[in-house]
Amino acid sequence: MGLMNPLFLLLAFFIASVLIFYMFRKRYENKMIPSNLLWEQLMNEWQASPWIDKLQRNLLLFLQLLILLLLMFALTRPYWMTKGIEGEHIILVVDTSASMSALHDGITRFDEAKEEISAIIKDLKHQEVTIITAGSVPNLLVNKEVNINRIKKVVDGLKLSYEYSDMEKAIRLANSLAVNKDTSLFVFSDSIKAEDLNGMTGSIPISVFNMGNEGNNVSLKSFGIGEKEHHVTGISVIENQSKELKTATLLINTNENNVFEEKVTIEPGEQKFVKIPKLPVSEYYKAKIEVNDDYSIDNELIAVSRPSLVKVYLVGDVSPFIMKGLENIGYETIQMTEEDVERDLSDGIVVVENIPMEKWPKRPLLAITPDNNKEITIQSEIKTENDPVFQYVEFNKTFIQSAFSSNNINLPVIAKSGDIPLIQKGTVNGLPAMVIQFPIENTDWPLHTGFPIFLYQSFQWLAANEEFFGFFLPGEHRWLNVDADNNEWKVFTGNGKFIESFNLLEESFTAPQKPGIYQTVANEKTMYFAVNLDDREKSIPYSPSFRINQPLKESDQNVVNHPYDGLWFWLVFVALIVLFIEWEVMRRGTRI
Amino acid sequence: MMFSHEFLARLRKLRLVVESKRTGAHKGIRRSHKFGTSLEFSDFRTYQPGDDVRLVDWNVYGRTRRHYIKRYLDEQEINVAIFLDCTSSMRALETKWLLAKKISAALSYITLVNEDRLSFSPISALDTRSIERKGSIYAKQVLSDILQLQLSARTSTFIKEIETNLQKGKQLSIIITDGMEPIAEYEKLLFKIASVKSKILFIHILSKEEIEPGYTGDAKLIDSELESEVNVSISPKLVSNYQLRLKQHNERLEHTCRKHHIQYLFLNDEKTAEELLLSDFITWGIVQ
Repeated sequence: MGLMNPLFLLLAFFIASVLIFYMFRKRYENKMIPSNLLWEQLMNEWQASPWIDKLQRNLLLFLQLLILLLLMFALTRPYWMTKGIEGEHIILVVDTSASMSALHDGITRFDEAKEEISAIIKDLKHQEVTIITAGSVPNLLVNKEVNINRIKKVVDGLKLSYEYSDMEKAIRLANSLAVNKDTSLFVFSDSIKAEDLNGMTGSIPISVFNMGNEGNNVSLKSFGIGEKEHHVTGISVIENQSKELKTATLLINTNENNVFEEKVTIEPGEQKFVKIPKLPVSEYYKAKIEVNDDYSIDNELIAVSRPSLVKVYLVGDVSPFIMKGLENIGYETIQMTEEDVERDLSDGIVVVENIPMEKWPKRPLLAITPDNNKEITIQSEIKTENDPVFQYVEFNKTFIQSAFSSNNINLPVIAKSGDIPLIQKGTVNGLPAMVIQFPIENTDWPLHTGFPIFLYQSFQWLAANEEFFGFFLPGEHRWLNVDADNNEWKVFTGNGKFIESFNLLEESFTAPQKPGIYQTVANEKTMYFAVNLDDREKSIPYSPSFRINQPLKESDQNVVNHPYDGLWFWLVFVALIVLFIEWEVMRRGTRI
Repeated sequence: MMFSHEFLARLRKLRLVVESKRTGAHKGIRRSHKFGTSLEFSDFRTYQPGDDVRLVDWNVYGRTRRHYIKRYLDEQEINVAIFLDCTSSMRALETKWLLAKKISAALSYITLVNEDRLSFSPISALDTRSIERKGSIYAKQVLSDILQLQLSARTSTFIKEIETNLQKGKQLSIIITDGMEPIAEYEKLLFKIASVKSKILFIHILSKEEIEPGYTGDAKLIDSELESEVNVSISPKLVSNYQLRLKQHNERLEHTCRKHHIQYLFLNDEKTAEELLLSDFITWGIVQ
């Protein structure tokens, strides 16, 4: 035996209240007075006031009828339709990309979406809610949550990620979550078209709410700086995406000082290049266009100037072909002895020849024959991996007389002859390194046109990882290779407010979400980096909202009717209260 | 409980004012409108045959040669009847009962001191007889008798009882009651009393507690006479309604009295009997 609805044991409360009524029932104090003459008259009149008189005569009857009526109605289980949301499980996909920050009627598209979501949540009735934010990767915030307060909290806490939002991925995730049950999907974005959802399988109802409207936007498409003959020059591209002529003011500032200003007038739909002839030397440059448009986040770009690695330190007896080749492609070579390796080489790339791995300086490095003990003649054909450094190089056409075989360098092999590794490429001590296992002199490689190309591409690669720092996309994760003693990175905003710190040995570096200039402090060195908007977010497209797979063809589609049948409880409740009143009336007789 | 000597001395100087033409049968000290045998000279009138020859004033005859009869004012008693309501409703509140007793005792005292005939009837007092007295020698005794009136039995209504006790030939009837009976009954009673054509004084006594009920909350009010019960949850609104009703009741009582030329006095126990008798009664012209 069991109780189906033990909750109703709470109604024992009524028993308690009856007891309380019993205990506190009216007790009249006996009082002898000379005459009741007037009191009787008074009470008669008091009770005989017209409206109460009629009622009272049959009060008990009416009350009993009322109780029976209420009970009867309660048994009929009345219900009516209330507005609600279709589906047992509701999945909300929210676009958090930068374009959602575009203004429309004074509020951002994102806030508008949040309002919509809040409105939907208000209509929820014990339905499960899943909220997914669509960033570059979809993020599941709540999964099948029923607690309205928690959902509300999550919705209130929604923030723009400024990333490019891969809506398709997010919707696909939502679709996969919607496996069973009666699910409906709500997408909040700004420019989803019905065609984008063509690939979606299944028949779950999808409502796409595109926020905002067509808006004016002038975008600072790109901004870059370069160094030319010891002058810093810049170039920027401004695009007018609106349908009217726009005048924008391009401002470049460094450390809060304006260093350049130019007014640009752009035809609708046109792009304009602005060349900035000369800029003072600074760590970063902030370009900004001042224009009246609906989307301000793409009006600013930051360029960080970085010391370009133009120096190459040649350590040991480096082949003159290498030296010449590097000089030809624009590198400044510096010859050093082995003893000078302890010097600060941080502004350049290192080339070593005949120096064993243990003695390599901790820099991006090209090593030639580090292990020259066992010379082997090359007889079989040279095979190369499909590596970017071999693009246009045709290394397999090179004649190589002999190579040194080495077993103690465990780097990925990108070119080999039979089992003999010729060129290896990888990271050593967290720094990029390339190893050439044969002396250049023993080959005809320098005579090939591919040789300088190979050098150029190799050094680009070696330098590239060094120049990792500079630009990030909002919220970008990037694994950074750092030394063990250089792993604590602190990130501050441009004006020195601490944001967070990373232990880069254990976690990847995550760029802040908000575009702007940031600085990091690592090893007591401050470096600037910029978080710039994804190019795909530099416009504010808009498409009208639409729905697909809707089961009901109603005019107001996002609300469907749910029967509300909780009324019987209230009817019984009222009946009980009337019962109490009836007892009270009965107990008092006809007196009040 | 007793009055002070001082007060009694002052009471002795008072007398009840009665304008009635009719007087009692016996001699008193009250000056009558009739001619009689007092020492007070009234007037002369010519002798008519059949007049008592002894009454002819021979001195006047000597001067005028005509027979004149010398006349004197008569001094007579009056009959005063005092009806004290001794029903339970009067006795339920001690202050009211005491006031009623004091008033009736003092009025009886005044009556007797003035050599008038007193008839004191405690209405509804089962074991007490009415007092019929004349002469100031009884004054003190009657005073204390009335003041020491102790009653305990429950009684029926005042009106029923008083009707059996009504007496004719009284120059002044004083009714002391609390008026707690239906107005219609009182109208009948007063009509009947008015028919005796004497001066009637209706003294209506209520206690302060009846005028401003002090009890609060739920009360079961028990009638002291009929023992009927009324359950009342007293609220300020109810009390004000009660007071309104009481006022109407009193006004109707007073109106009925005025209609029958009955003097109506309303007393409550806030003032002492001494105060009432020595100042208010004089002001109202009951005593002088």
